[in-house]
Amino acid sequence: MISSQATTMSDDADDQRISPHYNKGEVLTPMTLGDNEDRLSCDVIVIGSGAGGATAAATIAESGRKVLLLEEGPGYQSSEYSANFTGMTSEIMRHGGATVIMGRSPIAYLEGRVLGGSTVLNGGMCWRTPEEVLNNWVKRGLERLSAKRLDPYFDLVEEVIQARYQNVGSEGENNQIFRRGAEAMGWQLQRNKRNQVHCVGTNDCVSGCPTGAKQSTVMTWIPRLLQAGGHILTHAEVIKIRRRNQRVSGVEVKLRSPLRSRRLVIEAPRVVVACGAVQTPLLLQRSKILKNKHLGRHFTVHPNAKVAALFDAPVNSMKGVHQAWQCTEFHEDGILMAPGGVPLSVIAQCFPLMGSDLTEQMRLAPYIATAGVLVDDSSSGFIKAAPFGIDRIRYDVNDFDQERFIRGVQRLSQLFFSAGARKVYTPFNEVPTLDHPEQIRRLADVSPKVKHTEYFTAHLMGTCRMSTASEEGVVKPNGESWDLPGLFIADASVMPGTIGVNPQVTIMALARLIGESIAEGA
Amino acid sequence: MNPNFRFGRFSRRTLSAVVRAIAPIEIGVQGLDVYVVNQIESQVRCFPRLHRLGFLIGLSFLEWGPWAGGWGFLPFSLLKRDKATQRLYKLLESRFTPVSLLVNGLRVLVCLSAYGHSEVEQWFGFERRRWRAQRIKTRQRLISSMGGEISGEHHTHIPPTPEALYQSSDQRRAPLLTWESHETVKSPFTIMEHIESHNLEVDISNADSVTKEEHHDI
Repeated sequence: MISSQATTMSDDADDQRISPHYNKGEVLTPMTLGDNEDRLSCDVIVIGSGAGGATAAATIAESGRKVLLLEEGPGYQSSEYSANFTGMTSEIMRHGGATVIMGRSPIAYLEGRVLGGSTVLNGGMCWRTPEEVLNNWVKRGLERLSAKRLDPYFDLVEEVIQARYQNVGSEGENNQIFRRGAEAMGWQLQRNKRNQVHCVGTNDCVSGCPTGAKQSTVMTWIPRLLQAGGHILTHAEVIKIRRRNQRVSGVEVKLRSPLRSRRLVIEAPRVVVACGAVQTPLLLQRSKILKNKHLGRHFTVHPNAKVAALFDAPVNSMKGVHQAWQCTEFHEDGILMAPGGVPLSVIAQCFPLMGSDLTEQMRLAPYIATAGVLVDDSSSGFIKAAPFGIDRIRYDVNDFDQERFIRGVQRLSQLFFSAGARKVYTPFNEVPTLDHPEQIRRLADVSPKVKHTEYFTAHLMGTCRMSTASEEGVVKPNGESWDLPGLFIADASVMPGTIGVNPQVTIMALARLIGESIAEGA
Repeated sequence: MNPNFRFGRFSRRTLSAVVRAIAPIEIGVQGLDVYVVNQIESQVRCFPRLHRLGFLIGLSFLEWGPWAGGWGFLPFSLLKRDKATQRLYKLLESRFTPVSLLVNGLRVLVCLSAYGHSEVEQWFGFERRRWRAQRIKTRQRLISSMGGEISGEHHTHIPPTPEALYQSSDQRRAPLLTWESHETVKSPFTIMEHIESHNLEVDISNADSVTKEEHHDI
């Protein structure tokens, strides 16, 4: 019934089954797990199936290890993603999409809680870690993260997730307006590579790509994991990581099922935590297995603020790919600008209006283009687990970054006016609209405050940073905890600092690197 | 998460009033307020227990706070729409962060559901669902005409997920999860080239705004 306890890596690559009851490469749910099954064992447990977890799990499984990937949420196929945006947020996002970082101004963020993690709901942008960022990491002693050493990993990741340019014709008017504005200003514009195969610009990336074009980990690393004989258990919420004799010994899982929720113990000599920059430190803090002062600290969010603009001709911002280009003209200054086509329900949130005022404003919605300013943050926050699930997730945009936000919004407003905008809607409640290019300077004069600015983020990083010394971080350069042998972390939380670009490819490259270390017997 | 969570009668009444104060009810979509309350209920179900409790306390504050505090005579749910909207604007400006956060949170939740309603989208000229359905067909035709398969080589059996679907009636659940593979899809490079070569009747909006030459240059 129960496989023998694994205290060492399985030598027999042919027997990768976690129990005689299940076949290799099987996806399990609480319903298919035997009723009497309350204890399993394997070589490596990977918690989380997003960019980090799925990549690490596939890498380890391909080396012949017995791997069990645990995912808290359900698994879906593309045709199951509904057109009901709110319904999907409840299905695939943590807390129904209502997740907020507290601070001088609350910052909304999204976190996947579904097989595939946040790769199911991201925009699919594929950018390598900028070389200057990697050089900074090398200066901190992290030689393994040099551009030269990571390049083959980036190559592999891009190949696996099919990072490529959009097909012609799928961009849509929202992206074209952005391109025209940037070209009119003479600013540098870079075409996005996205992990997609023949994306036709449905623009439903955030609620799950219904066409199957987006190559989330469900399409890429997870099939590789299953092909290599790994297992997946969905609806499995890890409530505690266990330790025994000064090393990690497994996890306690709560299986959620409409029939009967129950607990399960899974034993393994190695546990890889890949729950993202927010959930990873929370799980480790709740498990009370690490006493590291850096755990939950150095939290960076790469915040962004949305800007909308009114045009004479219809834009229909939901038609066409979510984001086809990025304006990198001011990237050295830490400012990135990018279009972002959104549905009507998100456009409605761009205006601080309600009731009939909002209805009147929304009559113009088909003529509104949307974009965002992202700032490479110099500030940092923290994450602290608290009783009863009221966790403290705190981040304050500092004045230096706010000043860059103001400059970024000024430039994006210039871009929109150059493309023919009649009016620009800013994220600042103190100066909500600009009717003319000459009003742009008002933003600098008024200098909107942080608490009167609306931010959003999807790029959460830090909180368990990698370091070359135990006093400086939470994990070693191979991803293993400084304090607890056998515990590895392989997600955005290990990044030693903010990277200033979309983090998907960086997370996967680091997870591949860490997965290889485990496969080699770290 | 509590899949059995339901709003009580009083919470539902207050929330309906909030929906009427924020959502575009004047456009006459039948049952919009009930739809939005149900959608919010499904989201609140996913909240952690104490957040759910906080949400309910917040609704009670909204309903009875002004009356108890002496700066309004009527409970929120008895206010006329304009008055209710004005009260929300006032609370949005509150110096007390939890109060402004509550109203802003309600605004976001209501907007997300109300303006995501199919008839509301249509009324405002955003036929997202039609666009979505058309795109799905376009891609299926594109892939199949290339000789590829939408669902392909990596068939993996996954049992039906036991989590109940409460959110909507338009969700379709397939009994099996088939992994999709695009390995057989190699060429041609662009949709436009393919459509031209196969004389497909496919609407690719804005297709002519970027020429192939420009694309290759980039």
